[in-house]
Amino acid sequence: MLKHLFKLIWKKKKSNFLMMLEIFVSFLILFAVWSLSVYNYRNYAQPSGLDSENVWAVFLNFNTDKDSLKIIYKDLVRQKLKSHPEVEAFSFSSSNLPYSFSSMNNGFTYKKKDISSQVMEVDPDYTKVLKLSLAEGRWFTEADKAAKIKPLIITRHLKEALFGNENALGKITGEKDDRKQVIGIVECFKYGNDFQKPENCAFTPSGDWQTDLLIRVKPGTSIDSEAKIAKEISQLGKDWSLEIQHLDKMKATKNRIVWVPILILLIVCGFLIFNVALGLFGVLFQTISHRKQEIGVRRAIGATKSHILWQFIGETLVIATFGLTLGIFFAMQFPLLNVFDVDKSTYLLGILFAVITVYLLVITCALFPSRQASQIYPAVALHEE
Amino acid sequence: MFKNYLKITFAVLKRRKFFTFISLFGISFTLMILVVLTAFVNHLVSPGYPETKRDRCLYIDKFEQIDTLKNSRRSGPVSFHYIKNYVSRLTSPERIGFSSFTNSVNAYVKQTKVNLFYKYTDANFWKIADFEFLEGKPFTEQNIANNDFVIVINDFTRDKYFGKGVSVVGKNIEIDNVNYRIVGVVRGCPITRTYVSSDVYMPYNTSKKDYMRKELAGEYIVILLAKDAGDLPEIKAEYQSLIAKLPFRNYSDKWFKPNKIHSTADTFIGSFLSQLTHSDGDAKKHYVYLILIGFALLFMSLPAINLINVNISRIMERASEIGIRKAFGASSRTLTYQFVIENVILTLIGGVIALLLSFGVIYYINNSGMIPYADLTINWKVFLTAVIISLLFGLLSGVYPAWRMSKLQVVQALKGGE
Repeated sequence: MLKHLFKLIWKKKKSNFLMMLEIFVSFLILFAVWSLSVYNYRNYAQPSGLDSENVWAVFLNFNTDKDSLKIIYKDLVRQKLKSHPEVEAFSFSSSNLPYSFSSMNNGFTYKKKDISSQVMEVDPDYTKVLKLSLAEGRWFTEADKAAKIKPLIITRHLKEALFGNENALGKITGEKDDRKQVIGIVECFKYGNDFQKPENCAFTPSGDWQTDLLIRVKPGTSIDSEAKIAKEISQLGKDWSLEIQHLDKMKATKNRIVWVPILILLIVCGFLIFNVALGLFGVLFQTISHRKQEIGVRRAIGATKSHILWQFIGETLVIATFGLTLGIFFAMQFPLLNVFDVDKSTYLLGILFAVITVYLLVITCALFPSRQASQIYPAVALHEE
Repeated sequence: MFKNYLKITFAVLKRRKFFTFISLFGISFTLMILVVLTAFVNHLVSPGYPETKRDRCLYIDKFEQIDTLKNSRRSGPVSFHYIKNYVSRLTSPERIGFSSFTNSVNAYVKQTKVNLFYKYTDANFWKIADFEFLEGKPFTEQNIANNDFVIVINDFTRDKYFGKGVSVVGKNIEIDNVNYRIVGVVRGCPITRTYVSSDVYMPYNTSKKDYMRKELAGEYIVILLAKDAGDLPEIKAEYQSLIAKLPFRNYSDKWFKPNKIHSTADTFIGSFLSQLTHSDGDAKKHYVYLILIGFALLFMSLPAINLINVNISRIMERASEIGIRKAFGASSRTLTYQFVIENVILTLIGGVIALLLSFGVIYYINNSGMIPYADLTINWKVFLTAVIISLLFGLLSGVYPAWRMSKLQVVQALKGGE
């Protein structure tokens, strides 16, 4: 039966060529869309590792280049913040705050490996502000800041890249003056947006020149108290400028940058596929109604209704299979050549979902015309001839 | 003859409504997307309020100092010191203005928080950008010389801060704990025009930063206005010779000794592309256009294949008609001609629907507040592109089936198909 169908289609490959081409292109589009969706969903499903609710990002600029002044100014800010009951915890940080637009990369070396990673220079209270949880080891304390070998906390991803399967705790990276000792590991830390893939990130105690702040406030802190705190801090110095942003809003902005283009792409592709479905439906309807005599003859010599129905659905599926085979050949190059450095299983799932979508689409389009074909009475069909 | 074709076309379109719907849906939807996308690109790159002279402008927004010995580089906008002592020596531009990168600051008004974008600019900035002043006027050289704390705000800031439509010139506004006197209110512009877009504008000498700092790197973008678009290459060349003569001096950092400086004065598209590709944008312009056109063609290919497919079915249905016409002596060429005309008419109808749809979508985007002050328009350029594309579509999807059908044998055609 199947062999027969293949033979039928192959004989008419010229007239079916366009349909195959259409299915081939649709498959490629669906493959791209599904791979992208699977990739982003998988990353989204991972926990972010930090709590951005009720956290403010404070961009503070003392407008001075002198480090000695900055130390004094920072102490003033610390004292002021401690006096406010709304403030639960705060930490100075380098300017690459989570969900901000700036980044700071540094290389870490271990046994001739040199891995680049995001580095956040922060205060010991950083973990309280963002409610980080450590998978192994511990966070650094005020006492660690004085140590000659600086403490370092890294993400699981950086640990795997740098140390592989070895136990990372206690290991030292870097040389001479720039030595750092790993004392803790966090499972994940999605500092860019919720769709971020696991990345290299490291935390180390801050120096004296980091002037941006993260503050965790009590839930329900009003705009008025925010205005009051902002005013009080910026009035501590003459030329200070200060801006408070809410971390969850910053996160929403960064997320939007990722999902809005994807949504537009999905809508556009959805319409393209709908367009193709309509076209397929029309063409199938046309070709099947052209073959009334053939159906009449088959019915007259004993084919049942369901035979006819399945023959036409089968034929359409075979056409789809031809288009898909070519499509899968091209799509398979992505996991084989490891394009864009994406996990192989993401591409394979993308192919699988695209194949299922194409078959579903084709069956839906073929069902109605095929049903109509199977309803034809042999006498009527043969009479027309 | 043509009138005859027209009649036949409409008769055919009416007879098979479902097919007509499929074709029109495909054409109009695809064209609509292309028109809306072109409107977006057009909005991004073409001159528009208030940058109406963008075609005559060059922008210096990246200044890179390279230390080839240590293989380290620093790049960013330029300083006031650099503009005053070097850029202002350029003789070929008509005007030289500058403004800082846009930053934001909070303003707390009546229990709400307003996030305001601010820029520091010089007086020439107002002569290069054609802002529409709803009230008052820009600040001048005299204001800067007097060290006046004056400010120009846009209508959004006025509405948020003082109330809708009230007269505010002469009133005071507090930005980042500094009091400014309002001298003018401008109609706001979309944020996509990054070189000029902001909520409030202040004179550069009121900045809290020490703007006299003797360094080349800073926070300002320079806009060079040419008398005529034809002068742009000359200005670019003059700026390059200025860069070549720049002394390598580092004022603050003993670890960083630059021995190479790289900076170009780019057109708007050029500097936009430089940021994307991290190289000289003006040189890469053509590649980007090619990529965009390639992408558009790729996007159109699926609806085009679909159209061809549907058209074959449509024409196949009319095999007996073709048979009769052939039997009475119509040549292949006449038949192909007829079908192509039918398709072009169909496409044009689709094009009109697409334009109506695009008007709807663009109207929605402009009014939804997705981009504040968005002024997307279907101008004649976009319209023309759409018409050409739709004709291309008609030919693309009409020629092949028509050719296939006109090749049919008379006997076969009369029997009703292949």
